[in-house]
Amino acid sequence: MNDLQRILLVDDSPRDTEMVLDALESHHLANEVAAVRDGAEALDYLYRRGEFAGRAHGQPAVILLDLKMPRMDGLEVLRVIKADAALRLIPVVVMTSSREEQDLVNSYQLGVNAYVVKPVKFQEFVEAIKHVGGFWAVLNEPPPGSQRRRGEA
Amino acid sequence: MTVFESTKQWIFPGITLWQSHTLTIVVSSCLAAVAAFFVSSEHQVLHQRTLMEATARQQADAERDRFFSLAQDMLCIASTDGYFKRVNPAFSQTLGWSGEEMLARPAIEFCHPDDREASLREAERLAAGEPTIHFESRYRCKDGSWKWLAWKTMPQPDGQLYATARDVTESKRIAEQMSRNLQDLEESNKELEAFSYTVSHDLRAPLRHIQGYVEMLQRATEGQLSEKAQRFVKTIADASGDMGQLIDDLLAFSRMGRVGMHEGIVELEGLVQEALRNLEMAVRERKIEWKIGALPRVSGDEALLRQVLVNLLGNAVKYSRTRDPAHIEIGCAGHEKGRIICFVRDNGAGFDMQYAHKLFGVFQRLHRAEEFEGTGIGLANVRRIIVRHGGRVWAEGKPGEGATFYFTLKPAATA
Repeated sequence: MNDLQRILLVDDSPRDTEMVLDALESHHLANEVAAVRDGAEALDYLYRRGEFAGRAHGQPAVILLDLKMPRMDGLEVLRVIKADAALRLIPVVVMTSSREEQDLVNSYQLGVNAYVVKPVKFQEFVEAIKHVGGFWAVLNEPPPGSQRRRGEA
Repeated sequence: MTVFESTKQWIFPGITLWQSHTLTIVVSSCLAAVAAFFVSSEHQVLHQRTLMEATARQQADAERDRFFSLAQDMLCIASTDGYFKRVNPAFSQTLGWSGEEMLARPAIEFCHPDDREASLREAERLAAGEPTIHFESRYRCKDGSWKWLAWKTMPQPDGQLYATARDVTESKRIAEQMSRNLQDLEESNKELEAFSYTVSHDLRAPLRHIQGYVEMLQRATEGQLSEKAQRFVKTIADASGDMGQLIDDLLAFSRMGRVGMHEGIVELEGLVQEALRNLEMAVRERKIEWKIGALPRVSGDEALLRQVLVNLLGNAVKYSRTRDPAHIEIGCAGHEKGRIICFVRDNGAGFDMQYAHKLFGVFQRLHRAEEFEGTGIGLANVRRIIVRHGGRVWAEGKPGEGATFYFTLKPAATA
């Protein structure tokens, strides 16, 4: 729990989380995921407070953010992240069930880095997660201070 | 008269004095009569003129009174003491009070308590000589109900007010009803949006989970499940897939009704080519004879009209797949009320005309899913799009002989 992971997965559904981890397994990324269950926990993780007070310094290379969550939803988290100079550079990928235009517009207005609709069909879902994880956690060069691949400096 | 007497003898020579005297009397009487005639006729002319003037005035008065009585609007004169001095019958017809009853009480007493303050303010303005162009107040009817009156009032220098009032109760009621309807509509639109938002989030998630877990189950049990058990698992996956499609289709249909229209000039021929490219997968390994007629430029939303063509051509391809070769024709079939009639015809499965009314309903299908796949949303979308463009859509068909779908569009204005 107190390790810094490359991927911060924010999703209130344990099923979605399990499916995402399953899909990331094929990229050997599953054990590089920190999973939290809502927006409030996500901010605790990023600000190293609450149950994450003791976690290692640095930030994840990417945040995979669900939108519809109890307590604090994804858009609120996104607003906080993009308004804070210390967090603003972390790439945020919204991953949601909805392709509602209002969500798209709001997300991009708040400065989201990518927006992915979770496909209903599992194969497509797995493909989407692989792409997202592969691109943002492997291919993309994260901003300084982010967690890099294990074994890299 | 004596003046004439002195001259009678040379005027009438040879006539005796007596005669002359008599004559004098006669002549003088004649002259008197003539003079009297002239004098009296002068009087008469004067008199007649006055008489004529009076008649004209009376006539004008009568005309005015007739209009006053006939007017559908309420006409009245009110005096500075706040009483009506004169009201026309329209007041009685509208409010139910007799003319006497209207004159017997101060005007303000007929006015709704909530409107009195505004009415008194208006009266002050009138007293200052400013006319009222439009002022609305409720007046009490004899039966206790209230009527909205719209006033136009002109003050006179002596303080009298000339006013007309129109009963606007009904038009106000209609306007209120319309604004209420509009509010209700906005309300239900908002609810619909919230509803589809919830559907799109909350209904899709469990479906995704079913599919995901079925897939993971298949992987975890690979080689361990009996053929029967594998078929069960596959059925679960297929069923949830179908439901996912239904939800997506329903959401797309709902969005189709809400999305803004961007009207411009659309080249239908270009859109047909795009739609055909869209269908490349479906027409692969099929023998289809296409007949694409000349299509006009129309006025509409390109993205939405592309959807219409994709749906109609897609249907033509789908329902003619048992034909070798299939014939699919696109063209124009004349005009209707200034709109162009376009059609898409195929020689496919067709349909029974007695079910034609069901074709364009949401999730209505005339073929079983085993025969032809689909959820039954395509034609509902087509209809919604064409109706939003102000046109109409209909179909003709015969089982086993094919179908023709017609839709009307507005031609692009020629520059």
